[in-house]
Amino acid sequence: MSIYQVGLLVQVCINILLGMSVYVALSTRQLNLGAAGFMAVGAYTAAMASIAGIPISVSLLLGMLGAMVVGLLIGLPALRVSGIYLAMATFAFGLVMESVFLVLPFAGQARGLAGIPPIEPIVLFVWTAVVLSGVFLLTRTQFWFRVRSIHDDEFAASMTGLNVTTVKIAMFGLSGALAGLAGGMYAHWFVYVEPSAFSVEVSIFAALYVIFGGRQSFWGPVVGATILTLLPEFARGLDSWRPAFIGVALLVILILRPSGLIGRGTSLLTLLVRRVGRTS
Amino acid sequence: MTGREGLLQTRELSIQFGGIRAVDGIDFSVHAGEVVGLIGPNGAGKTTLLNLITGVYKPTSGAVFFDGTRIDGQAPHLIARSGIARTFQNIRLFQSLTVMEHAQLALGSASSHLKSAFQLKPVDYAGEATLMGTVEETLNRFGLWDQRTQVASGLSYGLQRRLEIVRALMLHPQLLLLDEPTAGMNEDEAVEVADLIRLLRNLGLGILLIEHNMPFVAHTCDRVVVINFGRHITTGLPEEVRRDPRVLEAYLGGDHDYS
Amino acid sequence: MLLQLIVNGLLLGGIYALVALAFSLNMGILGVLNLATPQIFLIGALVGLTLLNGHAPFVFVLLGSMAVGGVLSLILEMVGYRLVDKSDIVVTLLTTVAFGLVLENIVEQVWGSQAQFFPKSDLASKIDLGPVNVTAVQLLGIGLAIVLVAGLAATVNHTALGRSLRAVAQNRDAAAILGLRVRRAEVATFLIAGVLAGGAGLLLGLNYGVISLEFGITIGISGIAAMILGGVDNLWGAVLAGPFLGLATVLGTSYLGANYNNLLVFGLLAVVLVVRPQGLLGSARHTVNRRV
Repeated sequence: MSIYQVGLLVQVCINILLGMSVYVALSTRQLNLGAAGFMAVGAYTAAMASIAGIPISVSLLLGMLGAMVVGLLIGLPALRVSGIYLAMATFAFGLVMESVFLVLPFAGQARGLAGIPPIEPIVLFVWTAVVLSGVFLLTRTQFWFRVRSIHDDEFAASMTGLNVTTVKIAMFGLSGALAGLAGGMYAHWFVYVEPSAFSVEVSIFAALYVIFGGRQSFWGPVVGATILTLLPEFARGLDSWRPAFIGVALLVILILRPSGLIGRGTSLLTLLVRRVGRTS
Repeated sequence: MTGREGLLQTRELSIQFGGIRAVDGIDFSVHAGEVVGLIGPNGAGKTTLLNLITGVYKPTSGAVFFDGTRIDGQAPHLIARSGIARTFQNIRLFQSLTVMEHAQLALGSASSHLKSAFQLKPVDYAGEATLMGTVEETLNRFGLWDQRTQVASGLSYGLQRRLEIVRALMLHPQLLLLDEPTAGMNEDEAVEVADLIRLLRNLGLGILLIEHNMPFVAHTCDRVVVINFGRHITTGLPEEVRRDPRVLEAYLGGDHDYS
Repeated sequence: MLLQLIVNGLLLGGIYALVALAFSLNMGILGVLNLATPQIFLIGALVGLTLLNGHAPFVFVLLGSMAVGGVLSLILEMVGYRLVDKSDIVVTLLTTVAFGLVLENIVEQVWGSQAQFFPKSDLASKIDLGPVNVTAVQLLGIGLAIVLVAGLAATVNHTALGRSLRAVAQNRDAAAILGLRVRRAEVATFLIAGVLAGGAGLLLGLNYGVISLEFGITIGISGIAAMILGGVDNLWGAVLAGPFLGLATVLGTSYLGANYNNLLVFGLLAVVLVVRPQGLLGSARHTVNRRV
């Protein structure tokens, strides 16, 4: 595999994690439009740790933890608002983080941080696989029914004896952690971070991956991020029209199939099997 | 108000929203093994009262006691776990969850989130013990066993209403709050609900029933509490309350036929 | 010096007010955060620039910008908003994002991705008003902002259309049942918001002499901030918060530097959203509206 293809796969992994970050929060009806902010926390934390000599995997873990803590901290006030106001608040949070890293003296400010030790692709892929497997297993537990019940009817869920507050905050923490890992991976792959890498666009696209791929299933963000990241590769001629293409594709999905490409009961395996079954 | 302390006891319970006293100094009780009907015109404060009892609202004054312990202002999920379960005026099921998943969610709600995060999915709950036998027996009795893998949104209205009650029962409640359980039902279905309520009462549950269906109330309730404008009007046996001029006055202009 | 900054801040605030109004109309009446507004703003400016370069008379340029803004907004309404599930905030939000992506691409292809510069014109010459100086453009900007706001206020308060807008803002379903033309109100909302955004874009370009996508997004964010501070459902809130924010931005940037200024503004925004989501002047009922 060429270095270019590896790089593409790395980008897919990062984007899947970002999409997954939005997905877990969205599963409790909390739209997180500040994924880039959590990504920045993870990236800078991991970068500074590695530069200080800490082994890369530990740095990645620290990045995840840092972002998770921020997520938990944000999760508490987030309970006070819902819907579009929560989305705007997280959006504002993302903007705040970008500004924070522009002013923090030890984070390199506008110059950013360079000299981050590079990560082996295989390590990155293993991290991605392990963490995603963890999230996948989580969606297969009794706990995930609680998450879904909160999504379907928060009020009834609390009347059914579930501590909705704890679950919602926990999902925000998880959302932060996943975006934080994406950030850490970004930092060690591109070996350079600067605030402009964690812009509004990143947060918006993270949400796009989930909405496009499907927000009712673990595989939604996986498929969404993969397709939208690899799209330009298969549409070389459309290169200069890529944003418009994505925009139109998204519009089509929103109009025709608002729950996303992958519906609820369809597991990826079933989809594949059906596809294969149809062609043979 | 003196007398035998109830399983549920409210004392001078009041709540104010802005300038409006939605519930104003209400004292009443529900005892174990008793069915109490709560009636009053629309807007009288019945559902608000339910919300006060279940911890959705914190009273501005007064108190709620459950089994001797003061519970007003406690978090709703804790109140639910301590033995008070309810159904809703408008059906509030988890539309994407199946019948079985509703049952197991309610059954398992007492365990910690952390523990549930490590319990992988297919767990056989069919044999778990509930108030009315095993889960399978309970679902069968409600005609929901065959539909146990059907998601809530795919159920008929009648089955959805029943699932709401099943979910409430899976919480092992001592006190059951039913908010208009026969709304939208025909007479046969209502009779089934009446039988169920009588069964639960005989099992020792205390039941508070909000209803507009007066014959149903007369048929199932041991006592009836009437409220209007958030205030207690009268309490008594169904036949007494029916003839009470104050109650008739409260309903004047409404669409209830008291013949 | 301070006085000059204040004047500049107020005039920037006029532009913010227009953008905030554009956002506020969509949010307050339809519950939609229209993230295609920065792109509409940008295209309004670019079309104006093209007309200016073609030596069109100024009135024509202004009307052109506003018209383009209105048309683009209408297209968004017909192709996006109308066809999707309006009760889902995620869907409506991302519909506007999708549309914005398309617009962005069009800008890149037609005008290129670099910043575009406005030609030097008489309008940019400074007029001495004692301790401060202003450009004709700045005066025009504030004047236009006032006219547009007054026009909007008149429409909202004194016309049948305005009544349906206010009714839909309160309760869409009730408005429909009462026979009010909800569709017309939705279309009108998008149209007016687009007109305001297009006009504001032109004003910004003339004022600063340059326009770019980054600029558009920055102004867009400030517009959202002003909308939130003033109260999402309160149009006058947007009008007052605009100049307030403009002042704060100019003064803040001058004394603290752009980054600290942003930090403060966005931080304030985040806090307001959590502590008092209805903003300084909005009514709390809007935040418990089932639509949002």
